[in-house]
Amino acid sequence: MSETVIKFDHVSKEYFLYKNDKARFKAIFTNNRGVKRHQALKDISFEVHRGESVGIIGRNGAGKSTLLKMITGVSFATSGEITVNGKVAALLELTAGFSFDMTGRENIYLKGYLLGLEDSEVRQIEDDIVEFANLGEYIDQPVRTYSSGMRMRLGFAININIQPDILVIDEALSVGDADFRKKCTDKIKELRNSGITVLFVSHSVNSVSDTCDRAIYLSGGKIEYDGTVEEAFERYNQKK
Amino acid sequence: MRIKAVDGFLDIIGEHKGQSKKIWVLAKNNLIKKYKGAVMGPIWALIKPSFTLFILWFAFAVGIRGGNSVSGYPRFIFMLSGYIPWFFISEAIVGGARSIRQNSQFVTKLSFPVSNIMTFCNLSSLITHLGMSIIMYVILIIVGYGPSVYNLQFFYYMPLMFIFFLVLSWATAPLSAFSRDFENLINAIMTGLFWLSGIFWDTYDLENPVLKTLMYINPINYFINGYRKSFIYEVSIFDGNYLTELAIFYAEFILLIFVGGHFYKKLRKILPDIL
Repeated sequence: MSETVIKFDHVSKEYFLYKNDKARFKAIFTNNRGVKRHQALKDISFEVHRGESVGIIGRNGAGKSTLLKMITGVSFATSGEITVNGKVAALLELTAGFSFDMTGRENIYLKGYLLGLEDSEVRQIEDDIVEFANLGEYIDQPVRTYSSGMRMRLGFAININIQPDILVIDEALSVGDADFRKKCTDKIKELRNSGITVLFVSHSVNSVSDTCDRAIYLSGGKIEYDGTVEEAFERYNQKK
Repeated sequence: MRIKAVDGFLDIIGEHKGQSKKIWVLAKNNLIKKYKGAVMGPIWALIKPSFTLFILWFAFAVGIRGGNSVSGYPRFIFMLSGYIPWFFISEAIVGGARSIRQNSQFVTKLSFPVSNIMTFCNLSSLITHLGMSIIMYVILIIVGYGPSVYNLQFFYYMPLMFIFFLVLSWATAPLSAFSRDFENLINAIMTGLFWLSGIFWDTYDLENPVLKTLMYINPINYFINGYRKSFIYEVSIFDGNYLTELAIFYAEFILLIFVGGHFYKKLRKILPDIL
C-alpha cells in the first residue's frame, strides 16, 4: 500500500455549548467545568493513502464539516491524533482571506502567502490562475468590485492551482455558470488522474461513484461504514 | 500552569518563523483597509493624531495661561513627547485586544497561525507611529531640542514598546474573542490609563516617594518617560537614578510573557469553535 497522507487515530471532537454569554465568561476561569458538551465526532479512526479518492457521506450534523475542518487545519481535535502529510487545498471557503480592497492579482499573492507559498512559487502559477479565473481586465481591479460569482471563480482558480497534495471538495459548493463548472470538474479530474488524494463530500451516489473508489459513511459522529461506494450508499439509504 | 505558558510562548515563536512577508502584506493591507475610498488614503492615519496634537497645543500653549511649563520644559514640548508614544500604546492596547475578533475569518475559515493576527495588527499601528515620530522629531528640532546622541535611544524604546504591547495582546486578544466583556473592560479603562500615565504630568516629579515608586509599576510610564529621556531630558536608558524603574519593568515584562503564553495556549484551539 502506498504512503499514508491522512491519519485519524481515535479522534474525538467536543463542542462546548454555553448557555449564555455569562456562562461563557465564567468558563474561562473554571476550565469549562460543568459546561454542556456536544460530541460531534466520537473516536474516529481511519487512514487515507496517497492517490486515493474518498467520498464522505452522511446526513446533516453527522460530523462531515467537523471532519473536513480538522483535515484543513482550521479546527482541532479534543482528543486523539490527526496526521496530515502534504499541502491541502480546500474547495470549501473559497473567498476566505481575500482582501476586498486589493486587486485580484494582489489577492493571488495574498492568498498564496496565506496558503503557505513563497513569492517565487506564486509567480510560477500566477498566469495559470489568471487564465483559469478568466476575469479579463478585472484581474487588476479591486475585488470589492467583483460579483460574487467572480470572487468564487478567483478563489477556485487559486485553490486549485497551488499544486496541492490533498484536495478537499464539498459538492454543495456552486461556482459560476455551467461552462465554468465544467472547467472545474475537468480540472479536478485532471488532478485526480495526476495522483493526488481527494476527499469528496456529497449526497449524490452518482457523483461519488464517479469520483471515488471508496466511501466513508458518517452517522452521529461515528464511522458507520468504510469501504465500497455502493455498500456505503446502501447503508446510508437504509437508515432513514 | 507554568508549562502551558512556556509551550504557548514557544508556539507563538514557531508560528512566526518564515512568515515575515505575509505579516508585512497583511499589516499594510490592514492600514489601507481602514482608510479605503479616501483620496488621501493612509495619510489620514497621520492626520487624526496630528489634529489632536494641534488641539492640545492650542489648549495648553494658547488657551490656558500660566503653569505653562512642566518640570522646566514648555508644556507643549513635554506633552508632545508623551502623547506620541501614548497614541501608539492606546492603539496597541485597544486594537490588539480587538484583533482576533475583527479578523475572525482567519481563525474560522483558514489554517492560519493565529498569533500572527496580533502581530500584523500592531505592526500597522507601528507604521503610523513611525510617521508620527518623524513629525514629532521635526517639531522638536525646530523648537531647539536635539539632535542629540540620546535620540538614538528611540531605537531601543520603540521596538521594545512594540514587543511589550504585542505580548500583552497574546492574552487580551484571545480573551476578548472569547468574551466581549474583556474588550469592553479594556475600552473602559483606557481613559483612566491616560490620566494615570504621565502624558500630561511628570510622574518623576511626585513628592511622595511611595507614590513615585508606585508610578514605576505602570509600564506605560516606562515608555513615555523613555521617549522623554531620549528626546528632551537627554538621560541614558541605564541611568543610575532609574534602575528601580528598569528592574520593575523587566520583571513585569517577563511575567507578561508567561501570562500571554498561558492564555494563548489555553484558548488558541477552541477559538475556531466559538468565533
